[in-house]
Amino acid sequence: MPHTSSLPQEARGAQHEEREPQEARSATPLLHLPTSTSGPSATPKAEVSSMRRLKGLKCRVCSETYELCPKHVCEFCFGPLEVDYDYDVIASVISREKIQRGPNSIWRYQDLLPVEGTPRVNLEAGFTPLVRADRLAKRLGIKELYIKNDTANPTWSFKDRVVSVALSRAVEFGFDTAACASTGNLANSVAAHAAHAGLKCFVFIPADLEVGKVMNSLIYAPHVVAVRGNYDEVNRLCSEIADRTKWAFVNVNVRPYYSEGSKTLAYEVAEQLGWRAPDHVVVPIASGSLLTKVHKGFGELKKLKLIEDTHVRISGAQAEGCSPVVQAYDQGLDFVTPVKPSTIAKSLAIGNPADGPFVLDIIRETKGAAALVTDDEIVEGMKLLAETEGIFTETAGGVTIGVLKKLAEAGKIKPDETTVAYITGIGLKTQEALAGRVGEPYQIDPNLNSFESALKDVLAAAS
Amino acid sequence: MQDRLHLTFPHERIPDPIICEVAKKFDVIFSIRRANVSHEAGWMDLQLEGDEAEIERVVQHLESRGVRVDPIEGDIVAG
Repeated sequence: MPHTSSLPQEARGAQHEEREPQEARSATPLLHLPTSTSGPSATPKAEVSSMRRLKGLKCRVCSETYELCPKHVCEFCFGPLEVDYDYDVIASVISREKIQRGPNSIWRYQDLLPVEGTPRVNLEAGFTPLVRADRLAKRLGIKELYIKNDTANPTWSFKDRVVSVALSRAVEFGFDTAACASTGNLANSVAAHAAHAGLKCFVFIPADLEVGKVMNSLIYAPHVVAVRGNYDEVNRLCSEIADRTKWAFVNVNVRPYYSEGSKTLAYEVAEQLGWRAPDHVVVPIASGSLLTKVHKGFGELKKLKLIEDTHVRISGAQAEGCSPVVQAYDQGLDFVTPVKPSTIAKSLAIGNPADGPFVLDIIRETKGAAALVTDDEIVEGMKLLAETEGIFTETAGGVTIGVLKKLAEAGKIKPDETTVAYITGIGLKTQEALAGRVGEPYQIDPNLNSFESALKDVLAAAS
Repeated sequence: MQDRLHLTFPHERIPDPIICEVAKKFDVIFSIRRANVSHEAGWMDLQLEGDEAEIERVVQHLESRGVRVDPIEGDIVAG
């Protein structure tokens, strides 16, 4: 079937004429795959304001600039692209009061997000609770600890923030198909947001993924494609598919917009603390994007004078079975050597993290720390958070709490630091990690004697 | 066809002329966009251009020589 759709002009172009051939190549469709067709939402939203809040894309390595378009890699140095803002323009329109009048979602910070019109892919992600965690703090010897509880999102993970931004921008570019490669939270979020916005959706998964993991995506009726192959083969294929289709592959061709959604985790924490930054944050590391954007978010608030000029120490958490960034940190390296993941923290199992070098820079620059925990410590971390604060996190949260504990015990989190731990996903999705680890119910007969007998055991166990 | 690849060289392969082998043994051309090689390890970002099957042979050769080959995006199969 010949490919009939085309991206809007805005979506095509780097600023330089000589780059066009490569751009055209990248857009060559795979003929045997369905491709997007221009729908009602395909009209590009022209930016007519002379006050351009969004300047374009900029390479994080060589600073080469590009127009806003669905492109994620610099054509010169292959460095990652990110959205470049005009902060003078933003400063002229943003204020604490304006933000506080906004919706109770990530979109209250839209002046700092790369979406121009009314967000069109919106399940009201964000503005999740910041929970003062005194009982956990006491256990860890910290005075002031908060949990940013991002389990309270539409599909129960922080991915809703990034997906909502990525797909809202993608619709502005004219895409009508959302896609991702994911074994869990990302797939759930893309499928749900695509369903809500009426977008077509493709989710790629490794064929050996357990059925239960796919259920949380299948319910939203996306096209789920199971690829027979090992992780590396699936990864390479998806990279090629992203390169050849005209779909919004959320963490590939629209990645610069996608990753900006994570900044809202910094904005919200600062606002919820009464417009001040914490002294120390602990962030889980998968691709590293979340950590770099939390750093960027606090930096932007300072730049815009929405918070005082404080210094946030940023620490990173990984599982021992997938710890390329922590290993590089410990070895004093400024680049990351990829590893083959083997950990129960599947949502952090990124063996070749794209943002690894940037994460290393940020942790060192902010005088944070990096640490890892074993699978056993991950489960202990999940239990500790649930028992002390009533929050049931997934394995990734177990990594964060396990590392928080480790850093506190090692004196790397100072007792008087206001500390925030980011809990990025819910435990209901990773219950298998807890099998045999959370005790059993007391079995009794339907009479009071049996209950009283059991109660003695309960009280004895508690004392 | 063009392909953008991130190569990772382990410590024990640093002295080997692996990139030179690619140039001499295969019908591809490539440009190196960024690289960092030390005695400990090394990485290289390059753009390969050639026939699809020939690029696949290059990837297989690199992997057989102990070099890890990834898409430029890193891991995109997310949790």
